[in-house]
Amino acid sequence: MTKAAAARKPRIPLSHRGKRPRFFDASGTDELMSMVLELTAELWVVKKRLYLLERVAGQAGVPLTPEIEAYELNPDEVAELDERRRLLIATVLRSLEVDQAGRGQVREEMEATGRVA
Amino acid sequence: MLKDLSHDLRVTPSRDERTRQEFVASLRNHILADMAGSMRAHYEQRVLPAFQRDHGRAPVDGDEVHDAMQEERYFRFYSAIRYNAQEMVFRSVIPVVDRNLEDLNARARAKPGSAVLNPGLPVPNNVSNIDVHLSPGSYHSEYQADDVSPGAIYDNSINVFAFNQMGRDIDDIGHSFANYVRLAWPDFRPQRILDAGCTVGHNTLPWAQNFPGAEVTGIDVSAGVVRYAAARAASLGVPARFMQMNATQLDFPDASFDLVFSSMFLHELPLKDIRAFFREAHRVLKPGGLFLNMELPPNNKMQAYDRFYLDWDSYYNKEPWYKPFRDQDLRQLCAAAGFAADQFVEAVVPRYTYTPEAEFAARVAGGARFNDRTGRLGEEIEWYAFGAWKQVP
Repeated sequence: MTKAAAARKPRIPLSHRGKRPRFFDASGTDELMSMVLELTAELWVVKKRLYLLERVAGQAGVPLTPEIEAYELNPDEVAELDERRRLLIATVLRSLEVDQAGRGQVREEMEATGRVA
Repeated sequence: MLKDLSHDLRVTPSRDERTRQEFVASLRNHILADMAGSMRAHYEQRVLPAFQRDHGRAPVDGDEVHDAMQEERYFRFYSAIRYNAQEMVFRSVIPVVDRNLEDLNARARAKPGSAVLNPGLPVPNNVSNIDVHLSPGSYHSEYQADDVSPGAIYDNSINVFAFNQMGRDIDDIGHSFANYVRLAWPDFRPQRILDAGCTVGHNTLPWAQNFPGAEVTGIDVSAGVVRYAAARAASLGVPARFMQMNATQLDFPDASFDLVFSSMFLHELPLKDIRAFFREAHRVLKPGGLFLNMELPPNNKMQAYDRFYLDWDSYYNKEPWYKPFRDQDLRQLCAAAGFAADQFVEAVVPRYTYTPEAEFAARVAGGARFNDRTGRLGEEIEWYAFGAWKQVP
């Protein structure tokens, strides 16, 4: 984790209290739905960013595409991208995790089927 | 494109955060316009004929439609996507508020406006026991001393939630109702106006803007939204005071207001609290005063499918009182609080922000009709209004 990200912990919870309803019979389909939507949101963010990038660079007379292909990332940049990728994955997969209320759906299912105490 | 809120308490997202908010707003528009239309078609083409085969009749209420829709795959996807979109509204806003928390609270402290807090006031169970409409922390949770973040989360969330359909500062309901009153009853000029359950005061200020010189008061049980509402009003330069108070037990003398207003408030209250608020509204109104509520339309004005459609929030959006409210006979509810039955008022109000003045006035004069767009968020929405005049003895 980068220093900047580690230094500032969020104060306001992102998840609401209480169980999420299940809309599908097949186990995991509800979670997959969340993943698909989060992925689509992130994909749109990236697509818009790239669109802007190409236009801004073009206006500035910068031949961006060959420069990107040749770019060497330094260690700090690698670490920053690692953290961003970790956050992306955590967001896409958030529906599987223990939420602020303390109990995730996976754990609930495991408890219900006697796999944990 | 979503716009920043226009007052000084706005928090500015990064470009990526704003892009994410715009995605959620577009997703909601897709769900409530496109998917809602497809779901109705699935119902009419498959679910309804099957129900009629099995029962020899059509469903009589929203619950029967809901039961029949359970096995419909499209309904499951609609619900799952809508539920996730609701979560994503808050997830797209909270990190921006969180990052700006100190600065936001400093700005509110620097120009606090008129806020009267009551730290001893209990937060009622219907607010504190659940995260209402899936809002993390509900309406009232605070994370710093004298925090305004509950207001900031609400204000910025509805900006995403409303996908540009509820006014520049999410204040179209207030403007529509104030202008409706101005045009429908030209002899009625309220001087003292109360907005109950006002949250951030977005629909409170239009009363002061449209009735210059009127003394406008907004109340809410949450200190965080009261602080925010007062600072927001100060920033916009609109005179209004905000007080932390429970609408079921108003700290005002009898006959002290000309108009008692609420918007999007009753459907979050248990029925006993709605009844208590109505009695209080009657008590604090002057004879000849008006009680007026903007709400979702009641079930007895709708066909079974439309009842089911609007009741979705009650089943899935952590708004357990939404359907019990919509199941009420509103004329009776007003009468039980002391309003004479023949003083009942009901109207369909066009959106002032999106309707030219002359057309708005013509529709008010013509008595806008209840239709299947009433109360359904989208480009064609018209607001539902009801209430009663307090009789002059």
